[in-house]
Amino acid sequence: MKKLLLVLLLPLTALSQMSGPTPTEVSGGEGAAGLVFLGTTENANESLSNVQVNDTIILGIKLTNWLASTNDITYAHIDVQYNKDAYTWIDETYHASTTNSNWSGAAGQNTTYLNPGYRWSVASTYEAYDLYGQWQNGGLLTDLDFDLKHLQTQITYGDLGDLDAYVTFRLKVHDAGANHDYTDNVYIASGKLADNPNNKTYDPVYAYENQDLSLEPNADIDVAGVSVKLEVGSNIDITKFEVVPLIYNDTNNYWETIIQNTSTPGGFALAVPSNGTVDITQYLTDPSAQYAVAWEYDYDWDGSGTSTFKTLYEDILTISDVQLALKELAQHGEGAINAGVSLLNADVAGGTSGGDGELTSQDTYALLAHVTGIEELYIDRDGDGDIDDDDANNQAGHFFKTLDGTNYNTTAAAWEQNGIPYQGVLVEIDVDFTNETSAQLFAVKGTWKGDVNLSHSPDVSANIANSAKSVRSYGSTKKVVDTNMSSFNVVEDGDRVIATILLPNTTDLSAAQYRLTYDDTRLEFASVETDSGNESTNFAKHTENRINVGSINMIGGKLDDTKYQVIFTKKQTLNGVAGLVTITNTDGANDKAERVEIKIE
Amino acid sequence: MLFLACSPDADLVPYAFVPDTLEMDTNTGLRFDNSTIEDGSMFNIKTAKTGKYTLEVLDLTNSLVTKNTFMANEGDNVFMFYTKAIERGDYTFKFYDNQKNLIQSQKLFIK
Repeated sequence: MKKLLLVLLLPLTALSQMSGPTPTEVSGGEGAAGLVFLGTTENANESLSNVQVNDTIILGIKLTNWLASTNDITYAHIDVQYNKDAYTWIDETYHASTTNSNWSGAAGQNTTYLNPGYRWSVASTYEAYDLYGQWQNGGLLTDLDFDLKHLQTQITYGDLGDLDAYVTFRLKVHDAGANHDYTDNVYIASGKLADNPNNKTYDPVYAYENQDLSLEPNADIDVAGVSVKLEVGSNIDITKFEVVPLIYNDTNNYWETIIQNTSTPGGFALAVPSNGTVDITQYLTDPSAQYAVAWEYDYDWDGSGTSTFKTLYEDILTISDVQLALKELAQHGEGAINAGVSLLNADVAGGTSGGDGELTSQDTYALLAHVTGIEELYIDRDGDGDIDDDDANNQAGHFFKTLDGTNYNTTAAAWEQNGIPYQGVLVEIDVDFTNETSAQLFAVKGTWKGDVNLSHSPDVSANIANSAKSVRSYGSTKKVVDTNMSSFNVVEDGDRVIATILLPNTTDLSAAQYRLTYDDTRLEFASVETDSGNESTNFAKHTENRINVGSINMIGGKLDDTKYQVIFTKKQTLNGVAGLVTITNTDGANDKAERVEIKIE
Repeated sequence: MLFLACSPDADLVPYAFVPDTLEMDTNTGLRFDNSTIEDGSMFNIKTAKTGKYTLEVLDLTNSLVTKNTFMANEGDNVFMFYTKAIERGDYTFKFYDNQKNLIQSQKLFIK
């Protein structure tokens, strides 16, 4: 995960630009003519970097009058050359009103004429951006790849410098071939500005701010719409996910972010709405490229320490997951687990990065060790030598798995081999760029390593549902086979506060778990005392301000009636103990590994 | 001559200062000082007789979030409610006597 994020931060190389002289270089100018980009015919706000082959772009020439206090620009002709392999000139539009224009008896006029098969031969004694100097001293050079347009306007009244552009023109964009040099394929070569009524010719006139356009267009992509979709368990807040569009860099062999936003932490990620679907069409610009997305859960992009995965994972992997895995291991083939994805999730040990493709006692031990706090499944994500809350809260990607719908709903071929295809955070998408008529949706189902009973994963199809049904977290709707009542009470006892849980076993419970949350600013956790049967393995796991207590019978038997006392000491004088200790989750399974709701009264 | 002295009976019922916002006209009941409960908000439990009482807090799905049994004296008993261990949201507060008789139920927002 850490390596992935490092490559995600690499920006994509820029593909297009306009350029011209610097302000210093044009400081002595009397006037200027600059190239401006005005979008495409389909989208006036389109960015230059998104222009595709077969788009029609709109360019204009903006005049600047640095003598505006004394003169108006009433006459302009600017010569623009363009490469015909890269562009086809469609038309031009002049924007100054010439109605009733009358100068020295001549009507105002717009004039365009073409010099076909020519480009400008720059006069070396003048700067290339000195348009009037070039017009006076340069000339035309035969080059069949180019045409040169002469764009002229003259008026009587007003200042052409006041217009956003005195002329705009449309160019159809072409793919000029793999070896084509797109540099300066649109170029202001020369020109003249004048205040004719006052007999003033501007000199110098500079090509400013932009003289040229060097645009390597994106491929022509007209797919109807490409979206990615994530489905997770209905008790997961999917809006805590973000999706990062990625493109594969063949040169350096890594995935890199498509969205370039280095000013905002995580600015290259897109929000995921409640329906889990995100349209990524606009980020697909090269039909020959490989694309992917990364689904990130509550990632702490700015390092502020606000991620909450650890709390979520305490709900995901609970004692009933352990019991289901134990049951499957003990009676494999008899169907405690039917869903292949459950076996996949149970396989958490034996390999270098977790699972090894088999459900073994290593896995059940690892699952149990995590729940009981003996050895958690979290890894040292930041590599600082310990596994702390920062590691746990930021490693959703270590536990998150994605499968397509078919693989998600498959049964395991055999209990010892759960190798169904899956991906992790990064999901490659195979876009059909020839499909211009129908939308393409790349949907995956998200699940979690350790979520054996799929309590926080999408439902599997009914015909492969495990004997332990999917459940949802405490406080939400649950799908369970039975309900076992339990009691909870908090009392003040001198300097101590004691939370007592009584669990009468009325439903053949073989495993039970409670999560308590307490106010750690006022209480200090002291101990847990459990009164249970001899066959039970009891546990108490203290994390931050949460305590998971519970019991499991791992030899196929049932729990006896059990009493848990969680004892705290006061950190300060209190006025009552109301609200100091709460129950935030329960979990249970019967001796068939079926999920039992433990309800508190 | 006027003598000021505490009667022996007064020692059995400790004085409890009751802010105006927590006073009740009824003999028994539960009252918070605001419809929105913040950490350290005060509440008053008024009882007809000294004994054990229970306060339950249930979430919107009617699941028990916390329960607290405590001794209360006859009359007003002002306590503090602590919210750091509770997620914000709407909760139902139920006040019972030691016979599990519901004295009052009230829905409030915990901030």
